[in-house]
Amino acid sequence: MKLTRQELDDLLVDYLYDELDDAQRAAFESGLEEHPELAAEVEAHRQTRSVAAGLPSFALPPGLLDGVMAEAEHVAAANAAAADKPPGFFARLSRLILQPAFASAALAVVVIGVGVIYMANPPSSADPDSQRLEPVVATRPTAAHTAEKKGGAPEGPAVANAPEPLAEGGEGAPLADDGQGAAALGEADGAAISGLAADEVEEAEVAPPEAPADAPPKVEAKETSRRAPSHRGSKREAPDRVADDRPSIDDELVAPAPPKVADDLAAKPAATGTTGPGAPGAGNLGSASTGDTATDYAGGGGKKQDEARRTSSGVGSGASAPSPTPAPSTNKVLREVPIAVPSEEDANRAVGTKDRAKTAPPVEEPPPAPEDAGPVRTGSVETADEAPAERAASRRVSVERAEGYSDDDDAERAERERQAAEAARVEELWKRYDRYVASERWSDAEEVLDQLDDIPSQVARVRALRPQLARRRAAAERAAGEKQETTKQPATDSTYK
Amino acid sequence: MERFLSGRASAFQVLSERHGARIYNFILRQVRDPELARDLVQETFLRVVRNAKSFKAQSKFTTWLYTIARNQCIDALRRAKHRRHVPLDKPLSKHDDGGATLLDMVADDRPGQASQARDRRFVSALEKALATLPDEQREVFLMREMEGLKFREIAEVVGIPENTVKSRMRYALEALRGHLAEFADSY
Repeated sequence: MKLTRQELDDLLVDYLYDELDDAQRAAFESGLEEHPELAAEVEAHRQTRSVAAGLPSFALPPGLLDGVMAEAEHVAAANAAAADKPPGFFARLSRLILQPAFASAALAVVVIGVGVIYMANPPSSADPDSQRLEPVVATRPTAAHTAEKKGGAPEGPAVANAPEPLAEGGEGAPLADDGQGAAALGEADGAAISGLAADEVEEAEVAPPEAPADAPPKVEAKETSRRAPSHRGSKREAPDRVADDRPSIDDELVAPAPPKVADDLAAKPAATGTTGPGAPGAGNLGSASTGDTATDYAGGGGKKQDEARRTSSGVGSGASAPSPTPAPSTNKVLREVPIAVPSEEDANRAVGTKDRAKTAPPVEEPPPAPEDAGPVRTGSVETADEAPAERAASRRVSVERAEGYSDDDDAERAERERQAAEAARVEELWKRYDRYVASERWSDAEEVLDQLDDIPSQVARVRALRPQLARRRAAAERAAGEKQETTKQPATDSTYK
Repeated sequence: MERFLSGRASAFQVLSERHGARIYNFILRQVRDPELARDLVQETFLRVVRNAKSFKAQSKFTTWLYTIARNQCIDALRRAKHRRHVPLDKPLSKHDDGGATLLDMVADDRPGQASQARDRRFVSALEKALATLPDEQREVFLMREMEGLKFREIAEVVGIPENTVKSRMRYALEALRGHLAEFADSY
């Protein structure tokens, strides 16, 4: 390695004080041979260093650092005391926290705590009912479509669809919104359960009514309507879950619209015979749901009838309640229930129905409809095109299933089917009567009354209604005559005089 | 130093005996005032005692000690408004021109009266040559020749690059060579 003159100058001091490595030293010494002036300078510096080495050294004055030593002893004592003193709380705490073992333990405690809290308060999404309901949600539209297309029973579990009729009362709901419906339900007690699985009926039959007798019927109906879906398909449900009043996903799916719940509440008092003017549960039914509305029909005009009809279509939901969800979809589901073929899985789920029946409140037999009951108020006009017989039957079956009716006798079942068909026919006739009265087709209305008069259960009501219909017809004809007289009068203009 | 921090005062005794004289010579040749040098030596070691906890073990104690001493010298010279270069052969007493000087304090173990007389002249010339050096060259020369610090350590104490230290050292040697040329052949 050959160094330049500049590099030799830079390394001169290092060479003088022997701070070069062997290679650098050899390179520097070879450079000194090439640059004699640099070698002379190096020699001069060496002599200067040797001269400077003779520079004398002054002795430290004695006792100069005695004061410093005293201070050092004091500080050393303080340091020793600090070293012997146990660390403070925060010092120990910080030392403890900084240890990895403590961090691991703290993390474990946090994880366990979160787990305990999670287990104690599981989120709603982890609700077993909700999880169990998911397949039902998935199969319900499919079953409805299948029934609609084939006109037969859906392949889905019949029990899964069971709660639907319970909450169905929001649309029309003749069972709830008129005395006729209550009477029909009472008559159908113990009658046909056309679509209910036999094993399910048996299990429901075992169910003893254990609900307290003094419980308000309104609350009973509410709880019944909610218990049924919560027990659907599960025979291992805890009893406390049944009593839970919180609306679950089941409730929302079974009764998607608020009026359905209200109608369900209204239907139960009607079934227990407590509904009527002044009855505890009548407040939810509205004025048009009782027999008092007969006077409205007799004395009111067309507008009043329409208003009453509109009110009746919203029966159960109160005056301010919105109209229920579209009827067709629900009705389709309702039709599926009676003709569903129970499978083995359904049989297992029916055990849940058994449990539900055990917890169901006792259902009193509804009294027969009063003789002086007003005209039958039917549901909304929009549902008039539905098959009344199927709807009534399915509704009755569902109510019976929810309330723990148990009768698998064929004769009783046939009787129930017959009564259901009759009730459906009655309902249809009363709907036609309403339409004719509203359109002032008096002759057609009287013809409907004649048909209703042939039905024994409707005789008293028809007889009570005929005078009212006659008065209304007379009033309408009188009004029409006055109108014609007015139009026939000549104009009385003074200018002609 | 670690022993002193652990509470052993005797450790500081060892440190003071090892570095006391060197620090005193360094400060004395920087401030050229024996009384001020003694005060600065005391202040330097007091700071070592009081700031012992701030000492970082990864640095060399010598470097830390000379850094404190150098700062003491700079502060003292600033307080004096100007740097007084007092010749070491100046009489210690103002009223005694023929009295003892700083050179009399020099410890000389070389025997022989003749040599002692020659040495006194040589040392006087050397001290005068040092006094003529700029402060930055003198401190580098003193720390390297008298205290034996390496250029890297000097650079750390002074706070300048190592090459700058070497340059200052070379300038100091050239300046001293001019002042001590007459003694070059004798040594």
